[in-house]
Amino acid sequence: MQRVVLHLDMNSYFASVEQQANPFLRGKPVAVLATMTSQGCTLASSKEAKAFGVKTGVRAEEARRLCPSIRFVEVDPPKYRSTTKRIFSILTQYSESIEPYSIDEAFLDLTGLAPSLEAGAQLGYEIKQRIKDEVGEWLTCSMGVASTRWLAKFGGDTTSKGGLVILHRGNLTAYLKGRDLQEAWGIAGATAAHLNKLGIRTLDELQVTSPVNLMASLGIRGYELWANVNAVELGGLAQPRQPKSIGHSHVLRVRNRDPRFHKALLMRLCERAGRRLRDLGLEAQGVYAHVSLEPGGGLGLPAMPRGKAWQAGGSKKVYHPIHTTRQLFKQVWAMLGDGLHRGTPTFYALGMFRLRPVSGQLSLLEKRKPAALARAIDRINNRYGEETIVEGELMRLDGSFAPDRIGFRKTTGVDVAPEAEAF
Amino acid sequence: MLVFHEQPRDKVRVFVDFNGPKVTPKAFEWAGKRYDIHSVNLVYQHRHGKGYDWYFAVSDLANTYVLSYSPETLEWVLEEVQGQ
Repeated sequence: MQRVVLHLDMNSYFASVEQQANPFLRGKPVAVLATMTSQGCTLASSKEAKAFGVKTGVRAEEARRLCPSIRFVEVDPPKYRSTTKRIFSILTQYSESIEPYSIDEAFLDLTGLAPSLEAGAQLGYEIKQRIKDEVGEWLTCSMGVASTRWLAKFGGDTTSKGGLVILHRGNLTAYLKGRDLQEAWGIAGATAAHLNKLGIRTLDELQVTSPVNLMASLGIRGYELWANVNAVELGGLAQPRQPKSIGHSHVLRVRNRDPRFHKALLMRLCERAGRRLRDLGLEAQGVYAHVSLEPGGGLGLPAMPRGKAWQAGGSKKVYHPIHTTRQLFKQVWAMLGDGLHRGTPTFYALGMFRLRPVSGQLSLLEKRKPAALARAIDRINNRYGEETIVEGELMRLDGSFAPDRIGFRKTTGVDVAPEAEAF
Repeated sequence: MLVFHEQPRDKVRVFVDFNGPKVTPKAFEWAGKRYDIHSVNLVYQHRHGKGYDWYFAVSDLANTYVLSYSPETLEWVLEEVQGQ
């Protein structure tokens, strides 16, 4: 049976969703910013903005310099998640074998439904049209159709915006010819440099290199590279699995040396991470916390002369598993507390690792009450909204600090709405 | 050029078209004035506690608006107005 994998990649996704929501932004350069400040980072730019060189990661002031007429929009994660859900719900009507790869990318295994790659492409065109009809006419996507997951994504990544490409053994060599190694998914600077040393500079050269020679130099990774460009399937679509770590980070947009503010902020980040941990029914046996500090006086201290910025924090394993927000906060505060007095915090990152399902193991030293309290608080917040009940440190912290943010990878599963097609 | 962006968050009266399971806002009254909706551009959800509020990004010929509807309270709120 012909294996058919389709890869879908939404074009300029966040910016396109904003243009879909506001038709007066269509056809104009638009940048979606993480924060509406001059230092705000561009998370996505429309194709019109890209023509001016405004790419992901460019700061707002630089974007304005590149394109004076650019329009800025602040990121709105629930809008994108909800739109993604509607798009993915269309995909699930074609196959139950779907791998959401990121908020704007997915793989779909059409084997059995489509007897050939061409038939798979026809379904791809149908899906494109349904996205336009049922979600929004301004939303376009690129697609790759191939017999392997890697080739489907490679096709989707390299075809024109809004295009669809079919890759099969017959056209593969011609498609790879002359393409730089780093155009391929999974080949970055170090691997490309290694391959260059072997005299391999393009993907078609990689395709005809002996896998034995590649393995002699790169080990199993060498075989994977060869297999990818020779249409050999290695793994298929990835199945949902338990995360290896759960964490949150935040760049502070204000410089503040009030210890109460920072305790509250860390508590909010801990609550976010703790909620996700408990939602997944997990506990953690490892914790990490980092803070970037700007010279100029620590928390509660007068301003100091400026000097070199530095970082504090670390990671450690814990004997008693972490399950509640309070347990996480206690560990994080212990790890960062001293460092916070040596500078002004500008960035926090915290999280947990060594995750495992809640064991229910009773502890001789720890009381059971905190876990029951955490569950009760979660139930209330589930019912009435986030932060209806908060830990004391979090009281009166404005909601604009450490707001909801969105990542580019593997964010599906967060804040997924229940099935509801009423509107 | 963006002229204004307001977040009034005012409760409004909305006229909707019920077509099978679909509900499409057609017009709304805000501050005593009726605004006819030219197009519904995007429909999305925001989580609110256990439930989800529905958001409608709509526009007339001059401005764009975001209307929210809470299935729990049955209230419509004008969340945003953007003038061009």
